[in-house]
Amino acid sequence: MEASSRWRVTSSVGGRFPGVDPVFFKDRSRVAVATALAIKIYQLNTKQVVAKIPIDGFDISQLYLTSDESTFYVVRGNGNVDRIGVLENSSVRLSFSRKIAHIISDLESQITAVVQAPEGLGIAVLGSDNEYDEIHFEKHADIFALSHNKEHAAFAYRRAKDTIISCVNVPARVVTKVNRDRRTHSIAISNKGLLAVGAPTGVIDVYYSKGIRTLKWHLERVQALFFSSNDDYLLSGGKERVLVFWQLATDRQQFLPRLDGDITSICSNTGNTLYGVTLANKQLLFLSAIELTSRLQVAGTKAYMAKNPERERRKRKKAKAAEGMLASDFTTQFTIHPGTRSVYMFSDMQTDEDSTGPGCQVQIYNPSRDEQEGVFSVAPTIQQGKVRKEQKLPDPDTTCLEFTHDGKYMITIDVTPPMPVDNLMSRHDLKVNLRFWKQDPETNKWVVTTRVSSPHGAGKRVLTVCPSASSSSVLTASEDGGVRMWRPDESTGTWSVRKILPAFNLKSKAVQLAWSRDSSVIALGFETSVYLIDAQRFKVHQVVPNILASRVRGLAFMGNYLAALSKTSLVIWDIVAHHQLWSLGLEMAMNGNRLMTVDPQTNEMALVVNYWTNEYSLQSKVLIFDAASPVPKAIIDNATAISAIRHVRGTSSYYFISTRGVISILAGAVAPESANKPDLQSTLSTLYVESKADYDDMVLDEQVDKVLNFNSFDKVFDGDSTNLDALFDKVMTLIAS
Amino acid sequence: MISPPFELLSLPNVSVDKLIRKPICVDRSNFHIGVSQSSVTTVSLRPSRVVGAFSVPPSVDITAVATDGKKDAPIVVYATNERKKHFLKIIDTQISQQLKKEVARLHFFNGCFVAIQSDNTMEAFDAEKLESKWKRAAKKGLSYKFSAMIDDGVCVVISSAKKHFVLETLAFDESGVRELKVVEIPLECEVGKFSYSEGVVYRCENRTIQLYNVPDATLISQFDIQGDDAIEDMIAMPNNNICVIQNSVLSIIDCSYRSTISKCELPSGTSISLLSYSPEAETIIAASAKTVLGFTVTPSSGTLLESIGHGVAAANPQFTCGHCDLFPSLIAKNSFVPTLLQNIKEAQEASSKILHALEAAAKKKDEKVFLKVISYLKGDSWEQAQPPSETVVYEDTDRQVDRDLIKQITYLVFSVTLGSTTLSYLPFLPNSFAIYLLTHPLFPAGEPEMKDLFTWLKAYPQLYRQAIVTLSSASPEDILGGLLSQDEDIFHDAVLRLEEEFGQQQITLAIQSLFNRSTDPEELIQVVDRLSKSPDGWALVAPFVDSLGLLAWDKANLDKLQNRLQAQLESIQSAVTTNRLISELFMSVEIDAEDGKTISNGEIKRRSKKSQETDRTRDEPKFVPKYSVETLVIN
Repeated sequence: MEASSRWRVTSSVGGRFPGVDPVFFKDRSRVAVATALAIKIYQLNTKQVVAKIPIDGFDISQLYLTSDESTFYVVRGNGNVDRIGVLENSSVRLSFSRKIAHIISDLESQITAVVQAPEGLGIAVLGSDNEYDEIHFEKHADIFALSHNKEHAAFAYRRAKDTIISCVNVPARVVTKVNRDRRTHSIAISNKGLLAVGAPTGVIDVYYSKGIRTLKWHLERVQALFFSSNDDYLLSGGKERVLVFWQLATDRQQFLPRLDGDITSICSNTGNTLYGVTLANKQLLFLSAIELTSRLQVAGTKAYMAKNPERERRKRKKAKAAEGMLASDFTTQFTIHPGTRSVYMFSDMQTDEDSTGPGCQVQIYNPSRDEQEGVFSVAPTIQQGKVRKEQKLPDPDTTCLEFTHDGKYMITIDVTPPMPVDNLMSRHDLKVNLRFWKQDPETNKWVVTTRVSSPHGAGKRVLTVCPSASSSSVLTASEDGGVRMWRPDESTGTWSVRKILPAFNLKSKAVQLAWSRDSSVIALGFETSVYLIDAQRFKVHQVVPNILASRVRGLAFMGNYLAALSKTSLVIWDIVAHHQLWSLGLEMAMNGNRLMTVDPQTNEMALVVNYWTNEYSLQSKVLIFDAASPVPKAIIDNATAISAIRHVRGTSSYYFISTRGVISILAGAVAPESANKPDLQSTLSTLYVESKADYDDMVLDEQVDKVLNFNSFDKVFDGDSTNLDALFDKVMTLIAS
Repeated sequence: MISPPFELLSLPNVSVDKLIRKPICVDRSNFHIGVSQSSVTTVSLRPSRVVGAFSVPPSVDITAVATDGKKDAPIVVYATNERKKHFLKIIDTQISQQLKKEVARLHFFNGCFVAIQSDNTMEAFDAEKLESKWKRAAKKGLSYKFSAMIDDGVCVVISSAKKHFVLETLAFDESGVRELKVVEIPLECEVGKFSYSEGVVYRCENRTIQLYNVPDATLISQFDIQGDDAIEDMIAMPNNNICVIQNSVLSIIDCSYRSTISKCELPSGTSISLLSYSPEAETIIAASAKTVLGFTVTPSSGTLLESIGHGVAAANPQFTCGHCDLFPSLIAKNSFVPTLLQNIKEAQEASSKILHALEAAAKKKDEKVFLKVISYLKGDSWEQAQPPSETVVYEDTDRQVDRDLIKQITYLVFSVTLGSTTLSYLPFLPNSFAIYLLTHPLFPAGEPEMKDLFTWLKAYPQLYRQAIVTLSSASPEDILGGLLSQDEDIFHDAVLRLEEEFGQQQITLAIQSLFNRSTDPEELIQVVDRLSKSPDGWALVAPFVDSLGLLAWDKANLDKLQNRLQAQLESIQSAVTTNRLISELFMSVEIDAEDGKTISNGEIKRRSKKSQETDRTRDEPKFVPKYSVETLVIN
């Protein structure tokens, strides 16, 4: 990352949790977790990070700790392996003759690993000098499982209606085949070679030498299976979010209360005293096997993005459309609390391909401590997870989240899409809620103070929320261009609408609001038009002449200027002098307003531009503009696309989040002069103390310049003037004075 | 707002030249002014009346006045120039002190008067006896320009030399002067005029205003004021405002927003000089020939709203017509800025070339060059562009160009010049060119110069109709104008656009602003009549009836309207009932083609319900229409 001299990226935190299994140290007191930016080693009893080894956690598929606990191997999705010393910060790319899928064990310079090839998976012993000793290779296999003691492995070839599973005794190099006439979703193999197969229907089959035993509890697909080291227990989990303990000897079950997300993977330490459960909502949970309570929770950022950049990359590659600006919306909601400077993001709770909205969970992430502060639900929902037909019940989607200027109140908009399950008259109705929240000083939790149902009328979506920079007022704008001003009753904390601007008769997704710093002018962008509204009278003061060649994407005041971002251009309009200063052509996706922010102290604008290079890689630049010139004052390169940028109130810094969920802090090295400008009185006092009193030349000047004329001696003769001495004294006094 | 001037003091037998040194001292809502060869007069601003005057001999020129600021019986000191001798005197007493040089300015602090002389010498005098307390020698090569007390005992003094001026922040005390900060600022032109308010020194020279922060003398802001005339005089006011005189116009300028908050035009030929500003009385004191004038100023709110559209700073043409695509700069390795600047320059050159060609073509009445512009905007290179064979409209794929280029082309076509509102549409041009412009999203609708566009276009019905259908940012008032057109197509299109785009409240407000008591009621009744007959105009009848109230409607007209509407309603109702009966009849006798059986009663009910649902879905709100090329061009 390069930055212009005044600006630099001071730190990067967060990142999406890669979802790989943790590594347990032998002493049972520490655990290593791979995050997006580092391998973090946690002390379990204090829950603190005791060591942090920087890595690029993107595309990581396994974290492996060598038997002497001196080195980590990081296995990548593309089959590459990096070696990193526990006490070092540098990594070395290892060279093997085959692509590695999973490292099983290591011995001096050799490793035993699951290798991947286009035609299937296998187990082999690999050396650094291209040595390759294949133990077994299973054609067409697409999933595998390893026993806890690493002596047994299972490979499955999943077909449309049946599955062929091969169980391999690694030391003995013996292979047993299982032909299964049902579909398979997950497999597990025990230390004694017992095979468990999870089906998409929720049924678990345990394959004994004498027959098959069927375990039924799950209603949806079984995503994770794990045998305890003594084969007494089978652990399973899936979309129900319930961790199920099957005691195989007694056929009894035990359940853990529903977790935060779908269970995707289960692992444990050597003594089975601690279980690591990976959840689909990008977090890792460590459970005590004895108390079945949470010992540690590790989560990365979970920002929801409307589109996946990787899918877009594949699409472009297919269409051979290499270079170009961004056409898709990779943005995310990203709001910074003005007081705590914690980041609030819509949480991407599900990995479902069919999920169409951000849901209603909000993640609070503290960038300075690099940890999740909490997750809360903006709207009531089925927290326990949904199965079968329940999945058709749509969760409310949060569309906006903002804070008042002092951070005292939070404003959210949630939309509940129509329910397709009932054939009711109301099945087409869209439920829109505007909620005003206040933080409970005792619990620090956000509590709803006012909920307004259909704030702009029945079925009308609220597309934007804009808080005032100087008061507690908040504006909302609906899809028909109607604007409403809301204000709280400070004594009760309840909010109500105070002013209304009539709506248009059209509906559009292109609706934007901006409020000037002195709160006197509101800019409303509707389709390709921009209106300046008198905030006091709440009437259109002026229609800005056509400056946008396409639909509005974002608006922001830069002092006297209005920065208007449209689908195809960025325009700076001088609203005082009524003329355009400059414009630039660019391509801005939906929610482009998330890629533009203004520092109200310096009136500088930071604009993120994401673009594709001719290698089909997605890159971005942060451009810092002032209104006077289209030539940016600073250009900050970023190797990945950026999803949102926001100015941090009271500082000269910006936070931005990349499509990989990494939050970076872009700090201005020189604080804006106006930000900490001392007042005149204190400046003068300081200067007075520092100044040197030098009056000698003044006295001299006075003596030289003294003017004596005949009138000057008039007073000498006043009173008694007979005494010559007295007369002399009077003359001397007069001259001296 | 600035009030018209009112007389504060008449100056018999003397000219304004005698106040050229501005010997004035504002003390709360009073001011003391020294009128050379006449008097030192105390004037109250609220109410405006002369409080008292102290006469001076005809040989005496008064150069400065100051007061100790006491509410009761203040000491007023004045500096005089009597036959090349310079004195400091207290009014109503015989106390005087002679000085070497002419006193340019007097300041009071902590029981002392400080006289700043024209050569920059400073001398402090006891307030009661004018006995000298200390003196600071003049600095060589500097002549006094301006001074102001900025705090208790702290003064900012500006002196000038040939190639620079010096901004000194000085602290006065019992023993002498401390130099808190001395900053030398180079000069490239005349030193100009200075004024001070709230920690900022304002300098004006010719048309340029500069703001310097005190005491570090950093240049906070600089801007040129529009127009050809130089600023004649300037005085600073609170809240970052200044009052300037330029070309016989007194203006208050908000320097934060660089906008004119209010203006007061002076009678032509009036020459005035600004003397001072009284914050307490909110009055600007100025001197004209033989009169001291007051201008009451209503304080501004200092908001951005107040400044919208009132900018004074001249536009910087550096990036005009420089619209270019950002992407080439993004992928240019290590040379973002040079690539961007090069692209901006190329865009400006291309625009300039086109505009020159169009200007030449306008003189020669060569329509082909104008039509070439359309092909250029459609993506062809200027050199290879050929006039299009048919009428075309703007499409999303068209070349993205600078708004200023479209504005310049439009102004050229419509012969609009700044300040002129007359249309001289180039008659030789084919309509297709104007049609393209009217469909372009950057058509400069909303510019003050184009405010009468719809009025101009009435002479060209096809273009008028085109504007009503496609001109973006058209106000509801503009479209309402189409309802007055006798052309049925224009009327119909205006109705459709009003109904599709604007809400009931917006239409009501527009009707109220467009039609007033001067409008002929018959005209309005005719509009309502046409609306009620039109198949699409029903929704507009209600706002017209409501918003016009008693303006247009008398009982006879209302009865007439009611009867007609009632009759139409009844006919619609009966038509709907008949329709429903016919459709039910058709459904009941419908024969299934495959098995030859009549359909059941349940099926009839189901179909009936479905048809009702279909009717209901027709009421769903309209989304932004996506015009096709066919619907955009009005033939």
